[in-house]
Amino acid sequence: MIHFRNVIKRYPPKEVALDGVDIRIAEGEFVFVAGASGAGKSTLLRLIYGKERASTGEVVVAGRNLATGDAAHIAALRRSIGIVFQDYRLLTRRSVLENVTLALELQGIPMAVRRRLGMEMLELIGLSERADALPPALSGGEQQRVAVARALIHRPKLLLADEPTGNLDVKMTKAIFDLLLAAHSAGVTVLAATHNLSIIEELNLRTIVLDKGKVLGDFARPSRVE
Amino acid sequence: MAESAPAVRELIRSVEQDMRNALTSLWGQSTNLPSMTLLGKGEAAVAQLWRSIRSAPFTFLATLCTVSLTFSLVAVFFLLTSNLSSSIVVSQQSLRIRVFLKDGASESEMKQLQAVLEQQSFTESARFISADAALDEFEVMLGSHSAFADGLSRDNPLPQSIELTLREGTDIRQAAAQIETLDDVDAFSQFVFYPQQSAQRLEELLALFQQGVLFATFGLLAVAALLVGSASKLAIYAHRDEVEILKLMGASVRRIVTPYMLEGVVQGLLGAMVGCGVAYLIYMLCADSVAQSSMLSLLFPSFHYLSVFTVVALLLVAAAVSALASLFSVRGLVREQ
Ligand SMILES: Nc1ncnc2c1ncn2[C@@H]1O[C@H](COP(=O)(O)OP(=O)(O)OP(=O)(O)O)[C@@H](O)[C@H]1O
Ligand SMILES: [Mg+2]
Repeated sequence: MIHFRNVIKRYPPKEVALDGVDIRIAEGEFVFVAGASGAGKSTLLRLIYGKERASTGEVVVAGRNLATGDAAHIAALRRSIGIVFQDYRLLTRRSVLENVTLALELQGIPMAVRRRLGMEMLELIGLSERADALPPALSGGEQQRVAVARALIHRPKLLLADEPTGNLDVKMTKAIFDLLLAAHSAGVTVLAATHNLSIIEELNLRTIVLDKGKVLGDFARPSRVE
Repeated sequence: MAESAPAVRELIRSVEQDMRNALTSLWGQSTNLPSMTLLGKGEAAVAQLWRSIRSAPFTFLATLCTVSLTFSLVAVFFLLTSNLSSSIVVSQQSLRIRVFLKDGASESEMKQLQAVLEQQSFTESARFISADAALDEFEVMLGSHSAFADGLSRDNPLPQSIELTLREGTDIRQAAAQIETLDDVDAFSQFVFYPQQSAQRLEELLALFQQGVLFATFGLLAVAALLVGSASKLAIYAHRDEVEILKLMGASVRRIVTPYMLEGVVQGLLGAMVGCGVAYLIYMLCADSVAQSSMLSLLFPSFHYLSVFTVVALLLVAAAVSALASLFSVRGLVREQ
């Protein structure tokens, strides 16, 4: 599903965010990307959805090298995956419901159907009462849940979640990961960046540890290593 | 931690099971979904347009006002030229040439000239018109304004002339040119005149004026394009965060640009409608006074409003120009992000 071949990512003028990353993630995996702040977690995800391009090396997603893909190809790729941004990126002028159903809108699905599916999704994340609110009126944690719901509504093949629980308390964190695990067990490949070590330990799933842009370790079962 | 993990995982698994059921049921509904009908797309576009106008009503209004002003000028120009062009209807049938005599030409000189003119092959008849007769003719032409002619009659400045009536089928221009080459004409007359000549001059002038209007129209359309284009640029700049998110979600450039283009088209169309309205207002206000003024009714014998064709064409051009203007000013910005 995802293949990084000796990827180096430099941000001009001289910041090296990723430094020779080699990873392979198969379809149907659930993978954590862990590491301290500034380790390069977000950069890794951005390379996968084509927001940034590798300075050297290759990033292949769903069988296509992103360096050779044109804008239309990248747009199509983005429509087929779900992304939870670290800073949520909700449309501030659109209601919570409209935000959650945005991916469906881009697929040209009619309003009535979008509404129905969107309400069901909001039910799932416990925000159905805020359907008509605008995102700025929501708490940070609520916005984060909306961002997760938006990334999942269209049954993406791949879910990229950048710090999906950064703003949530323990209980909400569990609820969100329940959702991610549910998506995973329904067949979605999940890649989640986090520095929440306790959830990594608890779920005990494959974890790639980054440090200063380098892969420090790739653990199939991190709890056993402890 | 290691001991508690299995229990916690058990708990999570049961919650996860419920969640998965909910998710799969939700996703199950989203296979084979109908795609949006044309009506649905239109509805969505209007909703988005309305949202966009509401988010920056003053920018929208300011653009609308300036675009309206531009199209008002275009419409009024069209009103003027379309009426002017249909006003010059000089009878091409009249085959008459007048040879005006020099001041103080004597009776014998006049007779000599008349004889020469009568000899020409194209001449049917040649008639002498005295200064007094010319004044009478002038009075008839002026009609209700003959008080003006009264003033003239005290010291009649009108020249004597000989009016030639040409034979059927003569080319009046050639005849006039031939007359001008005669020695006697050169000696005793001040100028040769035929109505087609002035009509031709007037038509040339009018053509020049219409060309000017055409250029001015192109200029004004360029101004409108600039206004609409920069308004679209401003709108997309104000929504740049939204544009970026849409791009990250995989929206195509076309999908992102379309609402801004639509907004531009609405501005152009509304502006053109206002323009046609302003022209109509001017038409209503002026129609009576044009009909009553003999000077103006000479220029505009029948003063009418723009034809339906012109109005429709103006609206279509406005829509097309503003669509292109906003497309080109916005597309680059969207691609770049
Ligand atoms: N757009 C950018 N321009 C320049 N440097 C950048 C840019 N984005 C990230 N960096 C740098 O690249 C490095 C990796 O950043 P990245 O955002 O990938 O880290 P991260 O692991 O996601 O951190 P955090 O946990 O704080 O989100 C950092 O040193 C950061 O300063
Ligand atoms: Mg980050």
